[in-house]
Amino acid sequence: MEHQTYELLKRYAQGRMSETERADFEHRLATDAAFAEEAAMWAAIYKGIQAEGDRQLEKQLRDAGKKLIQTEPVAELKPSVVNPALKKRFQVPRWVYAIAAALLLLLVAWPVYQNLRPSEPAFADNKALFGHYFRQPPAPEVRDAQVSAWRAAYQNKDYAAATAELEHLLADPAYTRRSEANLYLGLSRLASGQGQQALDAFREVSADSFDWEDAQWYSALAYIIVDDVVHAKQTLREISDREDHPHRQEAQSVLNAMK
Amino acid sequence: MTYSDEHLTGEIRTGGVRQERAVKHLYEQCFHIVRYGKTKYRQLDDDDLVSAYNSAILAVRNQILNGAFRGDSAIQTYLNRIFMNRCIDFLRAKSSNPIEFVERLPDNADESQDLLNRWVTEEQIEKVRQKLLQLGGVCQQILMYSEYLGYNSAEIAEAIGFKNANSVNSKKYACLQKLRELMGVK
Repeated sequence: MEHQTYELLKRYAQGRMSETERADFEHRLATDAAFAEEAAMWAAIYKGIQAEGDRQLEKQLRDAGKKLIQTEPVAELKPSVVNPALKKRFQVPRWVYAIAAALLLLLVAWPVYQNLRPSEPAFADNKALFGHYFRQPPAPEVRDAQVSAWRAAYQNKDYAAATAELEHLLADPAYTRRSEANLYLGLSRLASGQGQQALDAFREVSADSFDWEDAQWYSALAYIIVDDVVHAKQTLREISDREDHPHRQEAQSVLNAMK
Repeated sequence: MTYSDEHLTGEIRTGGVRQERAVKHLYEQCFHIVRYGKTKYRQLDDDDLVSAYNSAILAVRNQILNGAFRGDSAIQTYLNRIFMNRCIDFLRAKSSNPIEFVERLPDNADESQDLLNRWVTEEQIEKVRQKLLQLGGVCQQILMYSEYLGYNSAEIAEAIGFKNANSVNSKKYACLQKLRELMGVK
């Protein structure tokens, strides 16, 4: 019975009653207090359900509305005098842009790369190679303020005189700084173009001395100047295999140039 | 695709999935009203405009369902009028001066609801909403599908996994009775 009242009220609220039904319903509400009370309760329930439904639907619409308001509508303008149709423009594919960009980059980067790349000298022969890498080291520091004759001659690039003085010193078995003297004897001979004799002097440098690494490096250059490529490369490899060798980079560079 | 007023009102009155779809179509089809409102009511932000539009959509939906919308004007015109009135309400709420907006147009009177509105107070409606939430998930679903969205019992049975339409009907009336009891009526 109660549900019949609810269904009646629903039909009334939804405007689905005929004129006669509606008139009868309203008349009963006006004359039957118990029925009116019953109907009022169902009316509250009906409207409460509608209110909750509206709330839930509004929530759904709000999400949709937020998305829609952020998107621009698609313009569907028809061509007219004030709004002429746009000519269809030729569109270049993206891959063409990519290739063009790569070519442009290459065009700009290539000269820069060429400039930055260390130029490797092209050596005509071993003499040229030797000339590029041989740098005469200065005479050793004098600690006792007594400038010896060979140092003065070596400093003045008088390598013949320096050679004679050093040979004279080394002839004395009591002379103690033999490794240093042999190194500079070799260097003086090398500077005078006496490669083989220079090698003889470098061989006399003790492997335990401070002069050993220099002797190794200049021996390699001496082998180059005497065209002994096998021994030159062997010595250069020994140098480049030692990470702490002071001439390691130069040795590697010479090896690369000799390939 | 543009849907005609006859199609939209017919589908909304049919209820169920077709009603939900028609409301969505109506919402999207007339959303340009909001975009226009954005240029007209510059003091309102996007949230206000969407709220006003949603309110107008709900009003139009309800008026189609209770027969107050008779098709004397186009749905879009009707919707636009309600939307503008809601925007003006927002502007009034934001304004410190009680400005009279001469452009406010009267909404169509919803006569069928007059009597119900006299009987039912806002407090009662709010109380029903609160009690509805206490009913439990199945009752809420059945009452929403049936009483708000207009699904028939067979569609509800399928949607919520009931055996048949009769089970849905029994449950629906049990839920209504329970809601009535929660409202304090034996």
